[in-house]
Amino acid sequence: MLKKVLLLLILFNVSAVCLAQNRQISGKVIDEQSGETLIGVSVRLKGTAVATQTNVNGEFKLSVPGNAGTLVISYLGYHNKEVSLSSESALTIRLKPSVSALDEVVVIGYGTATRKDLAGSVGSIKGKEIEKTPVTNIAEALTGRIAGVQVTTLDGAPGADVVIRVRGGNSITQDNSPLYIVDGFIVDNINNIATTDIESIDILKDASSTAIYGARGANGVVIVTTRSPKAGKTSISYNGYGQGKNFPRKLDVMSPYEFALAQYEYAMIRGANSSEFTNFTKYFGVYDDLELYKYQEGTDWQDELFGRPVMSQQHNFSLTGGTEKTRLGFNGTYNKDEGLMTGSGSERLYFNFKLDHDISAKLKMNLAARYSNNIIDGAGTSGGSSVRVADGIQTRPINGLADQIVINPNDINVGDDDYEEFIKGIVNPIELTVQDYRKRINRDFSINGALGYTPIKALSLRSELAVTLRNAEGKRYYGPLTGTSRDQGNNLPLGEIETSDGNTYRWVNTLNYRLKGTKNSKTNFLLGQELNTTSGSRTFNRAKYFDANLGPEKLFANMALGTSDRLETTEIRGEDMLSFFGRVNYTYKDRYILYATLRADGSSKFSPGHRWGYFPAASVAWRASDEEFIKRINVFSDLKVRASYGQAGNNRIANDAWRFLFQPTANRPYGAGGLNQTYYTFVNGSLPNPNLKWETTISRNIGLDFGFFKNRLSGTLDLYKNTTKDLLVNNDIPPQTGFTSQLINIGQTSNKGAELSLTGVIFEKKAFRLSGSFNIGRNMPKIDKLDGNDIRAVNSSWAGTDLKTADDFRLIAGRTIGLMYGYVSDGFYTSNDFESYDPVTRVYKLKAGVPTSEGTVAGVIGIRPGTMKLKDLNGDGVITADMDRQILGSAIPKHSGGFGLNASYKAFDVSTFFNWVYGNKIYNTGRIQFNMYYRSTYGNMLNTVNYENRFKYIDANGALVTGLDELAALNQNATIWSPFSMGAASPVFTDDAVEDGSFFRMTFATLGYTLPKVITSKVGISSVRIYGTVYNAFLLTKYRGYDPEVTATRSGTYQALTPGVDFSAYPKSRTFTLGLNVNL
Amino acid sequence: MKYLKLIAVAGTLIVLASCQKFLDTDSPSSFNQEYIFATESDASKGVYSVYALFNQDAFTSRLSNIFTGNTDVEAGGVGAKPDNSRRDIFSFEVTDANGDLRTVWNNAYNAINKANLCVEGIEKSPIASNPEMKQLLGEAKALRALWYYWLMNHWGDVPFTMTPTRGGDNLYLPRTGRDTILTALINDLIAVEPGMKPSGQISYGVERVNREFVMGLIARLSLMRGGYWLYPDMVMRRKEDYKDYYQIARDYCDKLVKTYDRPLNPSFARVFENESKWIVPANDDVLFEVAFQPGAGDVGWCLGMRVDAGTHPYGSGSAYIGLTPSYYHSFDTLDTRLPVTCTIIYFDTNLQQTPGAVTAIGPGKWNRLLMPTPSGPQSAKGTGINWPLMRYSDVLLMLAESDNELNNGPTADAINALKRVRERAFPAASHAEKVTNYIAGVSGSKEAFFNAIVNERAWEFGGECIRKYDLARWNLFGKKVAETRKTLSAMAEDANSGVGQYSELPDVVYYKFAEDNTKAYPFNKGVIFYNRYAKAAVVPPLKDSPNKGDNPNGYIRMNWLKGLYDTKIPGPGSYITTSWRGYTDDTGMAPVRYIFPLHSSTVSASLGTLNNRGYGYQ
Repeated sequence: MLKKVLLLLILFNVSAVCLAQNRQISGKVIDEQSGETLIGVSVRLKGTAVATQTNVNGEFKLSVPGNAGTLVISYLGYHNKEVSLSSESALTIRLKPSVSALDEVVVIGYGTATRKDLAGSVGSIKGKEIEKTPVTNIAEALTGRIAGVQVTTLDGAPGADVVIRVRGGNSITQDNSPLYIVDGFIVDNINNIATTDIESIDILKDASSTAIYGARGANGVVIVTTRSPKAGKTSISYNGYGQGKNFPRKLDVMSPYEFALAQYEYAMIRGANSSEFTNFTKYFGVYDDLELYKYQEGTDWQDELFGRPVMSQQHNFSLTGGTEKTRLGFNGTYNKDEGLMTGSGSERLYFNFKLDHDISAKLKMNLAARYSNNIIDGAGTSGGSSVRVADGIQTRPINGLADQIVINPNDINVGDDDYEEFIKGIVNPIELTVQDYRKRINRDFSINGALGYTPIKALSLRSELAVTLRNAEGKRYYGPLTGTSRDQGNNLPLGEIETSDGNTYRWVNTLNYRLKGTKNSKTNFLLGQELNTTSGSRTFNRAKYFDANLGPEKLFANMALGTSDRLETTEIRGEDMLSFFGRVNYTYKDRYILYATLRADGSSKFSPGHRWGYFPAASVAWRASDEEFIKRINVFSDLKVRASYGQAGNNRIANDAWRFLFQPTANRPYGAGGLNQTYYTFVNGSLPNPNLKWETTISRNIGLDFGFFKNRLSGTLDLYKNTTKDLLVNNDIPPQTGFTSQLINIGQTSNKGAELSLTGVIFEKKAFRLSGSFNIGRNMPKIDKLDGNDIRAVNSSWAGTDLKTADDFRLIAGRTIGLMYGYVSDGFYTSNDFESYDPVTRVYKLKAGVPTSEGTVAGVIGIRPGTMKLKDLNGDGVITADMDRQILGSAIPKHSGGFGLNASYKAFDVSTFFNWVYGNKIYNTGRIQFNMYYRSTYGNMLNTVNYENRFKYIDANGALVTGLDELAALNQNATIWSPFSMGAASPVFTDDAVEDGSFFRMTFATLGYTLPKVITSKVGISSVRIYGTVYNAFLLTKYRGYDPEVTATRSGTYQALTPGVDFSAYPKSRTFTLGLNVNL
Repeated sequence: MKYLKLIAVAGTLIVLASCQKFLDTDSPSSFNQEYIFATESDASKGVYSVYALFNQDAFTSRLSNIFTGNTDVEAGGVGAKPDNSRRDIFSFEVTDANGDLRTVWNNAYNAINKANLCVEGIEKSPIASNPEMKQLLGEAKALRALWYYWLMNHWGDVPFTMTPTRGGDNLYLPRTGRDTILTALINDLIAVEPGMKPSGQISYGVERVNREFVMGLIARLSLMRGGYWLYPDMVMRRKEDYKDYYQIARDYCDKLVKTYDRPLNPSFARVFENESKWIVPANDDVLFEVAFQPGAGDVGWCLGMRVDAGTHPYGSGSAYIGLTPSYYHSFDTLDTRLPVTCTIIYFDTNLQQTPGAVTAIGPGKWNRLLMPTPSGPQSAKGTGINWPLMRYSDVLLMLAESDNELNNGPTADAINALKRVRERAFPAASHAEKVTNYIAGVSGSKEAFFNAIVNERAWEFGGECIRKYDLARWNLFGKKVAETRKTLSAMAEDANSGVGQYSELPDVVYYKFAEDNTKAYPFNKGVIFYNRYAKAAVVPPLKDSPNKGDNPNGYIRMNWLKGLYDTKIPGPGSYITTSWRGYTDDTGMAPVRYIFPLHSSTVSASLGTLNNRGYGYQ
């Protein structure tokens, strides 16, 4: 304090001398700790409009009138600093990093605020953090980083969809994705934004923050801000990396010998006279020959399909610079990502160009143009693809005698319906991936323009116009080996090209007014209006009967070579939306903060009369740390209590779901005259409901922000409860209506939870700095009310309709979602369970009182020792679907979170992040499917059921064992039931397949090294950093499938209702990255 | 400041004024019901939406064939245990967890709702009185009736509505009695029939519903209404007023015969060859057939002559449903329908004609080898072969049957109708005995003539999968199943023992291959049977027996009826014991539970308005 007074005195004296003279001040701004020069720092003469920014060397020049004055230095991520001007004209200003991030700027709806002034719940991650983890996808960068935000990649395929859930998601059947905003503009997803171009990501979690987005804010809002251009000397940087990937985890499948032995056993059970046995002998030889397979190395199909070493690379080039009045920035990113699976990969090109121009002091213009071109190769392993991950397990490792001689696989006498599987059985999955060709190209081009006008200091007006033009092209080729070609295309190639165009226009006008308040109170008003409109078109072209040898490239270039099969064009009218909104922000003494918002949205998705929704919200905060009595305690450097209440909406349903509309189609048409007879069908598959209205989420949040030790440790704790009413549910309706579902507003769900995040500097010395972050969240979803029917059965459909009693999930009012429902395993029947065996009739007679699972577990072996046994829950002696199933587990985790450590020592930096999920159950379909012959002819199984472990029926001589005592003797050490327990097309879901999904993963670890300035500056480069990263470095889990975090589903509709099902999707890879950051 | 306010207010007003209109989004690619039924061409595309539901697995590989097993004629293979698949349908053991039940039910009601929309749209159309619109109205109504007919045959009383479903409707309809539904449908068709056009006057002829078919359909529905059906208490009953419906059936068969008579195609084989060859003749046997374009349809893949995939370009096909050996041997060996209906040979991977097992007698009416364009070596489905839903001989036999019932014995009309069917079936040389004498022999009483109709319909329509419906309405299902099992058991026993009623039938057959037994060679002639319908009196010289090379031109021996016998049990083999496993009454007195349960999802979606009570399901 004394220093300041002295300075002032000196200043006063000096200024008296140099009064009314302009003079040039120059200076340099550096980081207090590292001494690094800071670029783009704002330098302003206090109380005037005289301002500049530091250039690429951290230097600035400013012409100031007179001698007196104070410079205000502000920079994102640093504490503001005020420097009184002295006679000195060359200053070195040291800025202190803002550890508590209280001054960090947070993007909120239609504006920004400092974290200090927030009253809502907002989680943020900065671009600098993301930079340390070179990932191609924003979502990957977000995984585990923000409390209450769960990120799941659908599968490991390049370009796979990423599911982001903020506080669990509220709707039970509608899309629970948050609203994505990029630079103020609503987008469908954020997959096409280069991670290198991100300034910050802010996630609005409670309704008081999201209500300003009204209609679409109910599931949270993810706001991405891309880097904004900075004035000064043009700065150029390059970031690039190369990446190698591998398949982190293989499942242990049976060896060729074990495979042949199991097939032999299967055939023996069918009987020595059966065609199965005859065929087995024909293809694999007699029992005594099987020994030979011990010496044969089988094909490792997991290796063949996913095991190839793959490379990815990314190159990013960015440039920023300009004058004080005109600033421009450019970011170009090229990324090529090879997928683990043969024939899969993605290639992306991204350009972002921004131009900010101050037309005058009052009128400012921002322009941005963004282009992305995303090419995704490969049909993946879900959806309509022919190849499944299961093929990596189930494909037979050897072809038996056929490996030695040429046989005709068509001789195999199979059940006609299983033909599909049979054909697949003889087709090499690798060949199939080539023939099941898919290429998707998405091109997005968006231009945003905004004009800001500040006629008076208190008032600012802004008008933004955004146009997004989207062009998508999908090419699908079905070669002769695919089912589609066999069934529909005379066994000749078919080709489908689907192109679509979409145009989205958005126009937003806002008015910000700062009321001239008293010394203690500040009031800000925001008024706005927004308009969105979407339209587009789609063309689908399908031709067949191409020459057998015509590959995809040639085929798509010459569709005329085939016979046109379907040509459909559609004009799409998307949603139109009109909105009005307002916000008042009142602050008293900087301590008491109030936000109140109201938004009205009108959407064309509802019928006239149901179109408008009104979404109010309010939040209050009290910065207790500014109160004298808290200051006196001298514990808290920051303490803020927040409370909020608000409503937000959801209208993410198909357009025109409220009215009957028809469109022409030639999909599976009638064939009168041998022609495809085009017909009119419903635009929407579900029964229109004219009474549909908005789904509303009411959210309540209380929060606490705190900081200790001069904010070296700071954190946030939030408690919330969200209630969603009038759920837009795609309700199952009786199929005798001609429809199977109808969208209705029904029921109520809620999510209660708590989130805690902490960040802190653990150690700080001049050269060494260690900081950490930690977050944990718990969310408890609950179904409050259903449609009168308090229990609803839901199918995960992982096995189509094959699953014995296919309704494997339950929705129960009063309980959570994700309840798995099935039989309880009771091991297997032992000889002791049987009274007798009649070798003539071949009947095993169960002892009285031993429950029978006959009819449920219906494999070729019937009920005999070794058959899977189910618990008879109601004790009536028979296993029935109605009485002997129960809830087996919940897919909802008890908590999840992550923590990271960042350290730097001199030129080295290390950062790492871990995430976990605890207490959830996973429905491991592979545990069922891969331990039986599920729809496979001569397929393989997991080693779990090898000869040693399984209950077996053949002895060491290959003879079939049937007697009770003999079976008991043979199977003394058996640990698992016979894999032939279940019918080949009737898997049974028991608690054996319900596994603990808890895991702990090292998400990434990075080591970086910055070359000494002394060296780099000699070649004119300001900094060079080299780094290496391991992504998905290790995984600790008891889960027996590929990856507890991968979940994919083939039925999109029920995805939300049947979480936690591991469909054995494309596994996540482990990646090794070597990268380079260069700043010129 | 003032001008800013002004701008803001004015701007808001302008936006608000246009806002209601702004929120109306209409695409030129979507249309409402009024638009579709305002022109004939669009209206026909509306009606094609109903037809399109034939081109679904629910119809092609489910309803049209596997749902109709197992009877005394058609029988599909059954496994050792129920397996929750189509095989449970064959053996009367289907449960509410069988996915096929849902598939067909949902598809049926989808078709019915679409038909209801068409009926409503056409009736409200400003051009409703145009002749083409009346024809389309008839098509929609007939298709609706057809789907209800199938639903009732498989599920008994079912929810019934003749108006399209709308958002605010009661979606939870209970079951309606079959009598009510059938009466409503019959009256509905009677009203629309006069406005319809005969097949010769509409585009695509018998590939669309036409006036002749609607007449036949009225008769078919009436016979169902006049017949027996199974009630939830497991008793077969018929309504008191059944004769009124036999009268309607007779009237409409008679009307069809009088107005649109045509000679039966002199070649029984040709009728089906035409379908396999994608030929759709006018004024022929077929009154309406479901049309499949190349690349669609499962006929010849899951129902037709077996062809094994090889390097040849015809792909593969087999049959879910075969024909019983007792049915095969019930034919008069001179009957030309026998070799067409029952095939005991198949085409192997090299397209060599090869004999199949006695338990694998295939439906020979359709054959993928006849397709004008072979569908490729690994092709399977999508044969483009049409599926007949009604033939003229069906109408003739319905006429004979209803006439016999109403007049307590056959009149000349009935006798003549049966005669026309049999005359086509037998070569002219045997007409005296097989037609004239035979009919004289069965015309003596109502019962004898009725029994003749029962048999004639079996021989005429084998493999066409309508037997189940006939057996149910005649209340003969249980009797025929018991009879079949008894006959087959006796055949097996007799073949094994060499004595008994069926001991004259071949226990084994001897065959050799013709010089040319390829595809090009006439079917059924590529394999030369030494004995086919009777036991060989002497064993013919066998190929390579006793020593290799002894007699290269000799015969090969193959188990025939012996193949039905399991020496290990010993007794009748699994084909006999499992095919009708769910029906256990060997006296044939108990009714067959041919009514399926509703799929569990259908029950749960109905919120208690539908259940599976009755028929012994709960």
